[in-house]
Amino acid sequence: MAGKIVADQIEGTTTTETVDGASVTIPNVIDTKYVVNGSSKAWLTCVGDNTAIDDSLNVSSLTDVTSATGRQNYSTSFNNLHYSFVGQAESTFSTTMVNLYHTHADKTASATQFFTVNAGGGNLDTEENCTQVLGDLA
Amino acid sequence: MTVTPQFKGVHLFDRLCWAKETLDGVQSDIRIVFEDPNDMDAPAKILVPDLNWVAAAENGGVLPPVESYWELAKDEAQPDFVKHTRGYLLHNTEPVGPMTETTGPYGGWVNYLIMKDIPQHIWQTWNEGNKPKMVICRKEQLPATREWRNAWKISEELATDHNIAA
Repeated sequence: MAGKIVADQIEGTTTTETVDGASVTIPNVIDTKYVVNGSSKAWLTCVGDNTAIDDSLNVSSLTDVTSATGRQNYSTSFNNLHYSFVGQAESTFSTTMVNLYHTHADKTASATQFFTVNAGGGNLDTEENCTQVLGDLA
Repeated sequence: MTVTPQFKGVHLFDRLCWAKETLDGVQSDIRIVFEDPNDMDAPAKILVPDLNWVAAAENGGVLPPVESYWELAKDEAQPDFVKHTRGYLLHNTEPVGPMTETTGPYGGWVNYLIMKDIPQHIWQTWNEGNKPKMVICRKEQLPATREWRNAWKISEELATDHNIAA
């Protein structure tokens, strides 16, 4: 490791803007704990049929469950089931809008199952799936 | 092989960040095909190892004992589970040494990954019954296209002997 910065806060230059004719000071400081806690704790980019992983962080494996269904397994489990899972499916060649979603029933602290569908709600393998997860780790 | 720092007591996420920054990813063509006896109508599932995880496993000194995951899974299976309180099992236990696909702790990282990411009721009885519930293969041995993906099953012609999944 080249080095590290130890700090409780990050502070930039405070700016002043005029809002509705009044001068308002814009705060420009944040506790580093918000930066650390607010960063992604897991992410994944994979082939759209979930048969190969392009790159990731904090993922041990990906399960090709069935058509248009994948399950990402985490190396470090999340603390609880209330982590925030977001995803996006690429639709370059699908000629339709595609959506990536998950359900509560298929979510554990150590894995998230996700589904990809077209605009009509039909299951669809896509070109690429991307996910990011924010939350507290175990 | 890169020398791994002494990581016992370091949060597993920090170790993974170190591994991601330090080690080159290892794309494996190993695939683990499995079926759930509790859901026989479902098609076969296929587990794909992660390239960064494999790099950490092969380098050694990063991953916790797989038993740590089992303990957390037990906690989460409790009906009154709210949050994990034993995360230290991931961070404070002695990290696992270097593994290849088939050598090292647990008989290699393939076995470790099976025991971590595939339900226990599948891998503990994989060779019981008329056909194996789990097969380790190479990517090239899977169907070349996704046609009829929702009907893929492990072949009935496979015998349940140890030569199949070894």
